[in-house]
Amino acid sequence: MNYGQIYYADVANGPGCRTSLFVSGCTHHCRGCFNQETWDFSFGHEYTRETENRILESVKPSYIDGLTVLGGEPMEPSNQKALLPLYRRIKEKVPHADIWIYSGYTWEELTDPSNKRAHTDCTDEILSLTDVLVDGEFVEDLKDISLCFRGSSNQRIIDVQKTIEYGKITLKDI
Amino acid sequence: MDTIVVKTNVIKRNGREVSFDEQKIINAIMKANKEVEGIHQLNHAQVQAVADGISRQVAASPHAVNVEDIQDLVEKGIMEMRCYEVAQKYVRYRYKRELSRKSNTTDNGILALIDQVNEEVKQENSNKNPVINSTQRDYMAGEVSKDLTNRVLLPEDIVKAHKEGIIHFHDADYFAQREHNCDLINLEDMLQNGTVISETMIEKPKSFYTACNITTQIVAQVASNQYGGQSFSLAHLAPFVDVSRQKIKKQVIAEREEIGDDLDPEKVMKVVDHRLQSEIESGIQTIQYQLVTLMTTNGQTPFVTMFIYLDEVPEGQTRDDLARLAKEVFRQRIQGIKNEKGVWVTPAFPKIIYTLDQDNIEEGSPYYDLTKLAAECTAKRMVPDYISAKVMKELKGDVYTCMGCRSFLTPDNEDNDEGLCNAGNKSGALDYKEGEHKYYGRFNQGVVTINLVDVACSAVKEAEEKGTDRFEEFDRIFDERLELCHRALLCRHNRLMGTSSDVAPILWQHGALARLKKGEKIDKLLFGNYSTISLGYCGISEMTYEMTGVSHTDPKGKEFALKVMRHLNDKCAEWRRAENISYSLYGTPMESTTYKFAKCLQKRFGIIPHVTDKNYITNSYHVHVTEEIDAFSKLKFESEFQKLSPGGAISYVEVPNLQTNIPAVLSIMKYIYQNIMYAELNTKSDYCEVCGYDGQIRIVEDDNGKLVWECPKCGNRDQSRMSVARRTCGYIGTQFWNQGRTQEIRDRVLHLSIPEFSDTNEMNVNASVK
Repeated sequence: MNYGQIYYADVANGPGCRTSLFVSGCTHHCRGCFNQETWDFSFGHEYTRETENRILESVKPSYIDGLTVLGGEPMEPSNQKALLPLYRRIKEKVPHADIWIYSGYTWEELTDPSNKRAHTDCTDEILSLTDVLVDGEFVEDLKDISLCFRGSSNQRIIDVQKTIEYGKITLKDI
Repeated sequence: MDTIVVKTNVIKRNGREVSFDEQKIINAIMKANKEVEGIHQLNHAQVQAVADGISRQVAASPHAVNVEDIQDLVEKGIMEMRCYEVAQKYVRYRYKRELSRKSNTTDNGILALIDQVNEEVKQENSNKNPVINSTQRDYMAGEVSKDLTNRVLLPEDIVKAHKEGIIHFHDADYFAQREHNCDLINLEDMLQNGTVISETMIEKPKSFYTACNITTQIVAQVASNQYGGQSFSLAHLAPFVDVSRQKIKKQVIAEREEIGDDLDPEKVMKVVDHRLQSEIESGIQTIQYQLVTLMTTNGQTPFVTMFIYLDEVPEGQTRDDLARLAKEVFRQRIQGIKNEKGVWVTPAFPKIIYTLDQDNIEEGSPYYDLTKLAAECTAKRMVPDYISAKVMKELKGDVYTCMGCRSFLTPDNEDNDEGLCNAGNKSGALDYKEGEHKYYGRFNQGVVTINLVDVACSAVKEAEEKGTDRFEEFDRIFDERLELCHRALLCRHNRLMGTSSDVAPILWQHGALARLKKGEKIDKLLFGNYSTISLGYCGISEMTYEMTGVSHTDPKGKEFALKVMRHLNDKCAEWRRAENISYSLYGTPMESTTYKFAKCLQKRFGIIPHVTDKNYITNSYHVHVTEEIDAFSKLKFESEFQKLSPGGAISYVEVPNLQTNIPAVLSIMKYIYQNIMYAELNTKSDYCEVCGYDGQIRIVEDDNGKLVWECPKCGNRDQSRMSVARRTCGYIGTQFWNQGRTQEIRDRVLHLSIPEFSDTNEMNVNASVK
């Protein structure tokens, strides 16, 4: 997997100060996408074990609220596989850090085992480690810059753990 | 005849040293000679003899000789030849030259400022609007004061160093009068025990609203009698909430009795509380609106800071009342004030400082909701700034606010030789309690700032010229310059000595600072710790780069920078010990001076990359505005320097619009609480009146290379049709800035959302703004 950028102490992609990882590769190709160059899976820099270590270190301070992964598409099957070890390590080593994932796939698509485009062997475990999923493609007609932490009004900020627990989509209270 | 070899230099009036030239003396004598009849003239041999005599005396002098002293020698020499007529002509000539040198030098400056072409004055102070008549009157007085200061009141070498940008003698425009700089006013004493405003007795107010009204009157009077800022505590108003509550309660009971309603305490208190709330709202609004609309005799709104520290009042009702007042202050500030177009904008004053403490910093602590509101207020209006009670107790033993100009008083503790600073109540405060530490009523005498960048550049230059070690040169020049600052500070101190309490009754007689007798001198308050005097410094960043080739965030640079900071403190301590005057090291919040210093440095040393290549130099110990560093690392790094800046200094972090991410503001606030005594967040809230854009207005270069402000939405560049608020050095400015400061504002990098790779900066960083 490649990635385009990492922002440290980022305040634009989730509450508090966070580390934000922009992974490369996306097959949605939404009209009006804000980061078209990241559609290419080979865009940017190679994601290595060192990259993973850097990210892990960066979320350790108590004033860093967590990690946000966006892109690109963090839930492309190949990216899921590359990112799972990072999620595992964060949850194991840094309990205070929460994990936000921005995906063009919807909750329903990701949790549907028959959907081979979005659901992989890793997906259930990834969601079990995720705190918030901002789901759905960006729809230019529904764009609204006054929205907090999302681009278009169709996107949902889902509290993943509550959604799993209650068995129905539960939105995060922002 | 042998010529006399004179190696001794002559110091000219402008301070420059030149080599001695006997011919000039001969010329001067010959000139006077020609004015008298032949019989009274000196012959050639006599002229030569006088000149040789002077040459010998100058050559024998162990140090450079002042040109005035040489003229004395000439006079004496002519007299010794008994040519009294020539001597008389020479003396008259000298006197005439002296007069023309000291003749009126302010005409041009004053006319230029009235015609609004005096750029320097126009951009000097971001809180003054120099086109307004009343402000111009203040500036005219300032020009006269500066002129007197330069020609009459200060020694020439200090004036020269000031002009060359080696040091800065602050507030020369007020130096002619006997005014001090800034203070913490003792509002409590004035409200509780009464005061006098414009010869009118003001007794203890009988309601909260009246107390607020009196407070604004006091602030206005104080501001008109000093040139620096003042701070007051909201805690001093808190007791009046209950005064109003009890008063309203009586009224409500009487009213209900009159119309036969029941006196159920719950119902009564509900009505009382409603009315009290509306009185609190009116009172806070009075303070806010009166303070921003007032125009003092200094031609500006008062520089005033409101301090909020819950522990200043006893736990229980009064503390809850104080928290309630603070909540109302924040609520109204978030709303803003309406400008002339009816748009809600960010007011510059009063500045607000909120103290972070264990009872309000963690989720679940009793006043955490207030802290959250403070965070919202900061995101929207840049204030409050934050003092960490935890760190301040570690550093100073007490918690107290800085004075108007971000300067901190010296802690009041028993360990000092003379004990507590107000021992025996020398200030005559009516709220004096023996053994209690005193902060309200204390003040600062004034500031002189050393330009550390110039010390470094001078050292490197001399070392290169002489082939010596630059660090040795640095130490030598540093000490010379410090001694110059020391003498300049003593001039300040001595100017205040002998001041009668009559010059500002509100300050010295009626409780704001003291309650001295009429005609009593303020001298005793100028010694010990009662008042401080500030040795300012600036440009640690550029200085370190020039000397070590690296930033002071680099370990090697840091070691040098900290050494310099310690030496500055050692000097203050040495002077204090010798004179019992509370010298204190102060990270000067320079406004126009940053531009002046930068210009002087370029003139003296040319363009040196990272050192003199900008139109500004960095304030105090701050990390350079262009250096990429995250907010937390910056605060942590700077806290080490803040510790060594006991006379004051504020750290800041530059952040984007955080109105939608209050948790991030709170994270930074919690970090401040744990790590640094005093810090602020620079947020952005601008407004374009042409298109209604509400966000960050940017700085661009116009066709002539001048920096101008431009609305990113509609391209409007008309400064009169936009409102821009930026914090430049502790204070929020809304009147735009000089080119140096504007460049500095443009160069500021954000201390949040730091990219790992700068090559992909083009990438959109914000998922929510497509």
